[in-house]
Amino acid sequence: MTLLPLADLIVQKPRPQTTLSLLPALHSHAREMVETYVFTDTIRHYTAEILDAVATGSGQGFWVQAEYGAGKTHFLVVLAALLANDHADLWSLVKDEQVGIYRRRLQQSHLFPVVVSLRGMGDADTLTGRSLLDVLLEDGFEPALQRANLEDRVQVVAAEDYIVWLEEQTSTAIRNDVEAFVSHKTGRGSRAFREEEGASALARLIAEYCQQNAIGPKIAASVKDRLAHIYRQITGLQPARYNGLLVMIDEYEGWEKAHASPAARSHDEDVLETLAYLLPRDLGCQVVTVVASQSAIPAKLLGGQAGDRFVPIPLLASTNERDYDVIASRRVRGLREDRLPEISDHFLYCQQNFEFARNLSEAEFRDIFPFQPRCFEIVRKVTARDLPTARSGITIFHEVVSHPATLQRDMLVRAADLLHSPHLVDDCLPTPEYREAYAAYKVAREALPTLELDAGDLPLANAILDTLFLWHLAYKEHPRPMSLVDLAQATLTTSDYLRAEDNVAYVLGQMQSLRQVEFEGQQASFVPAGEEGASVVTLFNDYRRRVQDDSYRLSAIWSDSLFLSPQETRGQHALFSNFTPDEALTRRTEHRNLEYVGQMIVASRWQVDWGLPLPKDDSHFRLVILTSEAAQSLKPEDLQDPRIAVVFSAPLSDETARAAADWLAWQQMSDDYAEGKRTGREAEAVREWLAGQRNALLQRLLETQRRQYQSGRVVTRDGLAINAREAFGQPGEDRLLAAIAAPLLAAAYPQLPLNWDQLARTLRPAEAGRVFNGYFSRSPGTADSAATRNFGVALSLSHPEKPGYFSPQQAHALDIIGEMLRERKGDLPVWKVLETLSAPPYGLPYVLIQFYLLAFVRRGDPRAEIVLKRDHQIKTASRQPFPGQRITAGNVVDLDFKPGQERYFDVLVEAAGPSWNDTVAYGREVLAELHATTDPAEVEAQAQRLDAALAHLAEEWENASRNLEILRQRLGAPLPDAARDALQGLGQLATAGGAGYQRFYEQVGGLYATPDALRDQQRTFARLKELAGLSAEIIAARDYLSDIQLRPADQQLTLDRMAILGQIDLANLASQPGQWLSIRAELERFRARYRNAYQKHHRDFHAALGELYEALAEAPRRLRALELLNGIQELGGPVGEDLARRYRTLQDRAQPCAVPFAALTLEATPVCEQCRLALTAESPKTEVNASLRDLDKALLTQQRRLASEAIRRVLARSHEDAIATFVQVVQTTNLAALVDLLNDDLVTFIQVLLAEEEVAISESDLLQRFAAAYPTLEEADLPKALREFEGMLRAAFDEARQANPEKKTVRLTLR
Amino acid sequence: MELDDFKSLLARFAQRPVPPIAGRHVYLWHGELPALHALLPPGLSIHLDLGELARSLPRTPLAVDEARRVLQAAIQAWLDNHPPPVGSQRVVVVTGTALLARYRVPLNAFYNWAGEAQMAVFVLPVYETAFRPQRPLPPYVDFNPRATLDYLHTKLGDQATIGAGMQ
Repeated sequence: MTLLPLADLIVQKPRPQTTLSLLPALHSHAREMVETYVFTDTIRHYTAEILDAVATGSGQGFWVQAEYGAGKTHFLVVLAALLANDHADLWSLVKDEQVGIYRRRLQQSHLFPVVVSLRGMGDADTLTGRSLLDVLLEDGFEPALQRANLEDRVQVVAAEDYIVWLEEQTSTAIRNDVEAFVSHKTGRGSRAFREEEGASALARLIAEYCQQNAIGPKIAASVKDRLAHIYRQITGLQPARYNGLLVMIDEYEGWEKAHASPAARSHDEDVLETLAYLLPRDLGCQVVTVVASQSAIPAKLLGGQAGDRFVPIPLLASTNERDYDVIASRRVRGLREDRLPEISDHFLYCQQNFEFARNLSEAEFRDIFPFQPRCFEIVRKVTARDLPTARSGITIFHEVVSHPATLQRDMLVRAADLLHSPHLVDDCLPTPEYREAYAAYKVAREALPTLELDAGDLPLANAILDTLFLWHLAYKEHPRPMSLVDLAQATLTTSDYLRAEDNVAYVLGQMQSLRQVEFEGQQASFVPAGEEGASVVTLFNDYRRRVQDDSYRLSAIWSDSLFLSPQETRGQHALFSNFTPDEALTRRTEHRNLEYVGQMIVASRWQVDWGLPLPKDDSHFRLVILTSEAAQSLKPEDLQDPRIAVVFSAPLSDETARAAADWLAWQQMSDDYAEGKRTGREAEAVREWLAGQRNALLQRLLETQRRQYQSGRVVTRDGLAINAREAFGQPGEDRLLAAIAAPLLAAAYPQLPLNWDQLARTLRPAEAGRVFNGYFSRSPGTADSAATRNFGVALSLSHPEKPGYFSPQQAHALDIIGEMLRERKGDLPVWKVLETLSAPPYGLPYVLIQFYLLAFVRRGDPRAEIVLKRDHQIKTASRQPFPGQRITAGNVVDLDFKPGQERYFDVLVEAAGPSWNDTVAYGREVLAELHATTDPAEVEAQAQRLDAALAHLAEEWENASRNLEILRQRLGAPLPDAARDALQGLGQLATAGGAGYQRFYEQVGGLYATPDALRDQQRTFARLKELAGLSAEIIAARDYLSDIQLRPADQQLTLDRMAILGQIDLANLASQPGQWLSIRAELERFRARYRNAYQKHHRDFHAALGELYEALAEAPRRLRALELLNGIQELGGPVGEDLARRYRTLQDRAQPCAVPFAALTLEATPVCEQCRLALTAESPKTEVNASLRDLDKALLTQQRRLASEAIRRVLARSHEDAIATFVQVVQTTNLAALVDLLNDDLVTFIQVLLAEEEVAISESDLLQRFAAAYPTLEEADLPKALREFEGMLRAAFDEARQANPEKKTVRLTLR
Repeated sequence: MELDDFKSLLARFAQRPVPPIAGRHVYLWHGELPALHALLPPGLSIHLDLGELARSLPRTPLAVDEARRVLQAAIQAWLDNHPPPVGSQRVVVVTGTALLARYRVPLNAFYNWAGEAQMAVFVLPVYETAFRPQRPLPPYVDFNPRATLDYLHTKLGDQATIGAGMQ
């Protein structure tokens, strides 16, 4: 799949404005703010909550709480702009439909907006006594009124009320008295004083005067009265302009901190409570108050619901994290609508390769495209610490997605790419929060090239380091290692040869020497570590020197290391970590597709009893592995069983000794520097260094373990050539064991009585149970039937042509049992069978012997039974105790097969007495609930049920046969023989219904030799019924695929379609109708890919058609011109007569389809239902161009004729201006001008002129004839040729003259 | 803020818009003006002398609240007349900052003006805060040479204050 680079898929946006100031943004950039705002689900919900409150006409307070830089100012600006409703066109910029519907609901709502930011207002104002109310009035209401040109009509502060009171509500005497008072105090008149010192200064003097004279002016003094007074003035303006107030207060956090005293805080909270609660509740004022703060709502103001005080609006709280991803993506880039199919290609690619994409819908993928989701998690976490969260995040994402390196790539933006952001690298990472880790990262980044990685691995190594570093920053308080799988996904790693995580693990393994990278087990992490001084290393080297020559201690510590547990190694794998020294453990191994049980021992010394024969308890091998401490004195003849192998390690190599010395030195040094033994900074540094070295040293030691044994030897009784290098080169204990046990078992069991090479896979005990059920169960599952096919032939219990059918004709194991039964005269103890068949030379595991014993009984040749032990625990398939003490050919099918049941088998005996009630045996294959009985009433009742079951069978048969016949016809393939046989057999059997069981027995006996044969056909019929139910869907799918036309370039689609069509095979589906589920899923995947390809084709094809349609637009005028010229017979024969027809055909073909490509779902048909465009269709560009070219050529031909001297002379005689212009145009070969000029009148006039000349036009093919006469010409022949040509011309003229005797002039048109 | 951090910030700010890490790009330079100029990349800054601005005012009321209003309006007008040039960054260097403290002028106009590409730096020379009268003042005179520093520092905080005088 070819993926387009990101530059072709996204629309780059200008740098987003993220550092907003409320007032400038509202007053100068409201349009931009509204247009760019992203309403996520959460924000939409909150916005609707606020708008709902406004729409109801009541007042309410809202407390917007958001972390610093989370975008609350943008939210407030949008809210204020929409609620103020000053500019109707702002609503048209709202792209969100659900928010947009409020436009109509809020049509009658006109809130007067009072917006104030408290940033920079706080703290110091306490010195001058400015309260929140003062700031609100002076910096909120007053500027807002000025902006609305209402400053003279609304008195906001008390000072203005004093002056208005004085001017309007007092007597002249008082006014004069006040004037004198002011003049006395200031030396100026009140007007002059106010102009110079302001209204407040004058109001203070008026208040002083009133106090001195015991006058009490009516001034609204309390918070509530003052705000209500302002409210009434604003809403009472005439003509009416506002029906409420919108009070918006930003940056309350800083103000609140600066007014931390209880009194100040209480006063401020009174103001907010009055606005949000008291005015609406007590006075019915529609005051909508929105306060934005980083801190939570003070308890006093908390309201849980509408109508209460403040309703909380938490923006970008932890529960709304997806909002962050969507907002960040949409703010920094757009998606090219015309490239959505190509973005779908990215989605399909990611789904194919990465788990994270499989967890996303395509819509979710587009929402965050082109970012790998891990980017958001990292940026959000990193910027949440002392950084302006969303503001920094959006800047980072914008810088990354605009980076040239990102745009040129055809993959998503990964976490590592975030380091392309200058803001992240230069502004955020140097902050104290990240400085230390960043320094460590830079050290690691510089060291990375020195690790001598392959050039191909270096980019991945860089990406891994970058990702781990950022991941560390994201979770630095509680570091989380990143799993290999997550790391592969975060780095978008894929690999053609390895699993992606193995590739990552490989590169990480090479990075381990970096102190900053910790890689343990299946996960890795970044460690913000620095470098240690050389002194610690020197110290360590001394410790190592002291132990490196002590071979016994090195050997002992190396041997000990074999058994280290994962806890001790911190997840690394010691070779025998699952073992305890000298203790035998039971192990299973697979050989010849069978599972064998045996013993495995890892020991530091040899024990004699390990050389004795193996016990007779299904034990098949014993493997003893000796450590380097054991003496190497064992001889083959010490071993008494061919199935025993003993492994010796080689003496410690130099490399191993060095690794052991390192580990021993580390242990001793760690002990010496343990906590409590030594203290101080130096000791602490040593401990820290030792802690950092532990894993690497241990890993080096563990890596030597396999190599030591690879150089060792393997001893067996029969001197088998077992290759230790190969055996210990195998990964994992299982494969190591298999490599040694396999040669032992192969040599010991040369007569394994089954065709093991035909086993489809390993036959484990559970599989033996499935085979048993597949053969004998009354309702086998799909897995059971599959098991018989996989193993039946190999066990010699089925014929290769009918692998699911129990047919034990050539079973060697059964023959051995039969022979033993004969030898024992029909009374064979089962333990004897177990002992014989499990030992050399046969080597059957017990579970298979148990299986063969039951098969022997079921085969019935000879008829035999297993006598069970008295206290057996065997159950039936319905979990009931198995009835009776014998397993017979009849009841063996009821048995619930479990491995280990052979211990309840006592004796195998030949069956005595006749079998009874064959009808029941057959009848149960039609109706399972039937059972044997001798009670006549019960027999009659059961016979009726059998008849009803046969009638039901007949009905099912009818329906299934009809649908299958349709399916057969449409797919054009016959049903398989087995299906036809089943339909035929059961169709006949169904006719036996209603005639009593005797008739049934007669019928069934004639049709089926055994009940098993009937069961086999019932199973087939069950599958056919399932298939019949799917027939309509299968036919529709097949038709859909068949109707698709694919281009040669659609190789993958072609292969996929072939693969699916290949699976829509009647024989295949008849035997496994359950496969339709997977075929259906494949079809859906195919349809998605095909739809994407088709959408692109439809888009591009019709875009091209649009261009052709444009190109053809001029053709009708030209065709008309040509038609007119062709009508002038005096010019010669017509040219291009087929062009009009060609044009009409092409015009139809070049009509673009109006269906947008995104609307093409292709669910029912594989083409656009409007235009029926095939994927293989090519635009008629060539034909259109040829047609237009031919049209020009024809016009040129006529133009040349008009331009000929003879015609020009005739036309020139006319004194008409139009003709003069026409002649000029004809001479210039300007076709466009010629077309413009031609019309009926002009052509008629030309025809008259030419007709007056009495010119006869005659066509002659003399040029062709001349060319035929002279296909080649030499210079010497020129006189003769010219003469002949002249003769031909003259003859043509004579002929033309004779044909037109009435014309004065004859003109030849040559061809 | 450490001096080196401020230097680094100015260097980056000269290259590209820088989203502020904390608050807005509004800082207090507690030091001498030439030292600040030495750090500023050429062509980046403009100068607002509040003393000069006050001298140009049509009236100078005695009432503190009215004086604050007049000064506040003048500052707002000055900032409105000096928008940042499109596509580049600008630093306004503000001197005469004692007036801000004297009349308790809120700094919201500067906060509103500042952005990713606009920075305001208040300059408060060390010699002003270090000034000590040569002779003892009368007991009824309360002399506080740190008043301006306290006012601006209280408003801007440690993160936005650069200079040794704060210790």
